[in-house]
Amino acid sequence: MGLYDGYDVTTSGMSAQRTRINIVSANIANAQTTHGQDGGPYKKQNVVFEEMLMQSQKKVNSQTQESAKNMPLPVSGVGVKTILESKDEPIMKYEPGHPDANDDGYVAYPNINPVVEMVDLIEAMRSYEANVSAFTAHKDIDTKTLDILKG
Amino acid sequence: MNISSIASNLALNSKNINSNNATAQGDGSFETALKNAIGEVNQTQVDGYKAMEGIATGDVHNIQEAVQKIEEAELSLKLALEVKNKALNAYKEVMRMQV
Repeated sequence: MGLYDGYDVTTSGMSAQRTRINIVSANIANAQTTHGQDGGPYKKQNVVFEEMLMQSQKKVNSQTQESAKNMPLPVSGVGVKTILESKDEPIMKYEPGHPDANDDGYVAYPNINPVVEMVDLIEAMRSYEANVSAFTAHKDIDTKTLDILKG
Repeated sequence: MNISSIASNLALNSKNINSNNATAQGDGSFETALKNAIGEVNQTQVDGYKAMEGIATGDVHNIQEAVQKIEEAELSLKLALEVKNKALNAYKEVMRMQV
């Protein structure tokens, strides 16, 4: 386990939550978008996270695969596995004058609930803050350890 | 209870120290170790400055990783500084010794 592994892990958490905040922001911004890339309404996006081994440990693991059994459980960070598009049916609203209206005069709006997105945003923000706290904790203990040498 | 003589331990220790010195002088391992350590500290400094530059010029898209680099640079420099202080203090201590 390297000296800076803890920092790598917390930074990966921050990166993941930042991606989530970006995606949620896009969902909020496009909550009323009726004309997406494919011509249809904007589709809500969801971030899927995955466990990720840190770079330094990948190296160690590949070098000593035989003694892998004796190694303690590796510290893993988090990565963004994929960004999924929601399959929710769009909400149809009767607006005959709208340029994106279909033949019956209905417009397909994205099925995005701004309240849900807002809660998701708050959750991502708190999670980011938690990762920052973990980073600060690592920094504090390292600084405190260095203080031993000052004595 | 088995009590072993302190003299034998001391003799063993001094032997070890001597043998360590011999190898250190032989292949310059202490010198290379010091050089490697300083090189690593310098590399983290360079990375830290690159990260700062990236933030200033707007190249950085990932501010948390830049901050991590800067923190790593600061901590490794602090550690190197403390090690240096310790070594210097040890030298001063030896110089202050009454003969």
